[in-house]
Amino acid sequence: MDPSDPEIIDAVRRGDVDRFDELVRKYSPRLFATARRYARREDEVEDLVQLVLVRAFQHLGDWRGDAPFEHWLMRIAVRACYDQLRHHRRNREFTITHLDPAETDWIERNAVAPEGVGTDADAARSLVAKAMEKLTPPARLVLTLLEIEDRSVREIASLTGWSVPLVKVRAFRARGEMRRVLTRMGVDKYL
Amino acid sequence: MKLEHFRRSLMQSARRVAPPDTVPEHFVFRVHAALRRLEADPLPLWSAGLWRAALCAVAVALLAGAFFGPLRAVPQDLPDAGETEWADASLPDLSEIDPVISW
Repeated sequence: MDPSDPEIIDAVRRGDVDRFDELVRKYSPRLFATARRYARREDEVEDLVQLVLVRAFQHLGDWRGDAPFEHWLMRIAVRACYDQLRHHRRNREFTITHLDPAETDWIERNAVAPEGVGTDADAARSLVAKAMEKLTPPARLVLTLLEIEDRSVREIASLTGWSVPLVKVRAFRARGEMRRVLTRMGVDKYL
Repeated sequence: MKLEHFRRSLMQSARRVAPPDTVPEHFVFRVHAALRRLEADPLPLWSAGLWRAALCAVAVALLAGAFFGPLRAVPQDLPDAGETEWADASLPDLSEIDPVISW
């Protein structure tokens, strides 16, 4: 039987640092999937996940064991992803986003028969990625957690450290912001 | 309304496609090496903490200075006459106190 997370953490706290590798192996897939929602380049994703794991190691003493280790780790991950978004926002280049033919085709098919477009996921994913790139960090984070990862408002509040009303307000603003971004991208011409 | 409907449909389609959770092969060793470096040389961690604490201290000092500074800046060249006028106005004259008051 695999040792439980509290057992491993106890061992690491007692000085057996090598056992932290077990946690790294166990939670890396989940962390990589999360980080890939916020960073596009693979080297950025790796740096981000490493940062999360190093932070977790440094603050392992703060984990009290009253919530599962995974929740605690995800909280660190979401905050690191948010920091990454804010850092990118400061350093990003402003570009004009054009729609490629596959995307315009997806939009037109969606306008005619919304239920029939589910199969072409690549076009939808690329459209979402383009729109998300243009959002402010809080808007992107809240829409990703709420509408793509399908998390509850309470869960988002716990992950981000924002209050429940703040999450609701930010979600409301983020939807409006995304509509404006889609309009700027010229999506409304095809609807 | 059309745009919001489209936006929802777009997000729903994006929800169906989860990003890959593949981990690069060398990754565990990379993290392991980073942790070993951190253990061997905790100075960067300490200095980062120290810098953060120093910046916080400076910020608190500036805020406190901005808040309490104007309160402490009492003009030094107030004429004594002002003080005596204030005392005359607020305190009753000794002659006005009824000497018959007894306990």
